[in-house]
Amino acid sequence: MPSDKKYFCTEPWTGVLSLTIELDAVFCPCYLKMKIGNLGEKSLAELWNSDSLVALRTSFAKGELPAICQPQLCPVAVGKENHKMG
Amino acid sequence: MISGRVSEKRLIEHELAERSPVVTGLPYYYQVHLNKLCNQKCIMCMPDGRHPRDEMPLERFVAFFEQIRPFADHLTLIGGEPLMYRWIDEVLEMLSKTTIAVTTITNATALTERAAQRLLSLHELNLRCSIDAASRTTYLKVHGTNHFDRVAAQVRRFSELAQTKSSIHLIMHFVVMRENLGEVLSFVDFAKPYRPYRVEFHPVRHISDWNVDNNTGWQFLGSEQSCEAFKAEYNEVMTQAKTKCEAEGVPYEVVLLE
Repeated sequence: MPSDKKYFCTEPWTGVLSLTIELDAVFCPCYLKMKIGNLGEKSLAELWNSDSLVALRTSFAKGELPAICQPQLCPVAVGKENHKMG
Repeated sequence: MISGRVSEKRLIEHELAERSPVVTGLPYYYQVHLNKLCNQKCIMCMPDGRHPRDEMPLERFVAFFEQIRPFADHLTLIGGEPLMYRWIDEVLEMLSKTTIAVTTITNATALTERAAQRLLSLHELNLRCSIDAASRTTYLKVHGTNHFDRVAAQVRRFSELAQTKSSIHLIMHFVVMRENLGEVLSFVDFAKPYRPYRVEFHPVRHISDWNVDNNTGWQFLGSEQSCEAFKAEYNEVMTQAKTKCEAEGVPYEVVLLE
């Protein structure tokens, strides 16, 4: 049964953008670890508009949890209610 | 005049509000991997302790930093063990001249007085110390080294120094697995005198098919140590930890599993 739950993550807009020693740029380094290119070969602006990131933004803009995010344990995927802070 | 950082942030926030798939604003949260070298053999990380010696050349860090400096809000420094990075003094010196908030994830073995003073010079700092145990015995098993007393002393000293600056935050981090589940509650007692900004309990991840050791005589089976393997018990202990933190006035973050 399709879920009517809406998902949204700000990270594809604000970062985290992670850089390895070799200048590989990785989006969402704690969970997805999505490699989006190399800063030695592309500009920051190009990396930040890589196809995979544009696809993530498109999914979240529609309130959908992208397939690659579904197995993650992040607050967006598992629900903020599972992250208790006080 | 609007600074580059403010105008860039407004641009990102506008694009975020518009849900634009293609953006012109650049991110303001960054993380940089300074080195791979570490002096520990954490069972859930690099249990054989064969950490490569690769490190980011300083000029490469400087070139990256100069690009993001006008608009970055937050930079996380990771390793390896970032406090063992050859040019950590230079990096902290550069960062101390900005208002960029810094997070660093450290095992605190190299958190010497000198390193602490450098860190305290930052505009804002989240120092996340990976401890993962409340006793020497469990620390040895999880970290593969007998650094528990050194870490406890250095974190205590840092905590004392940090009390004078409200923007310096000590975070005491605990990766939960079957082996250290029994020390979650005592970790709250252990952490309380350090007056941490927060204690964090997170389930160990990405190890469910591991069968490894870190030369302490303990064989780590991911299928048994993974919190998904004892989810109900894990959630019960996390709930107790939450209650205990609230009762003790210790700020916390715990993650429950579904």
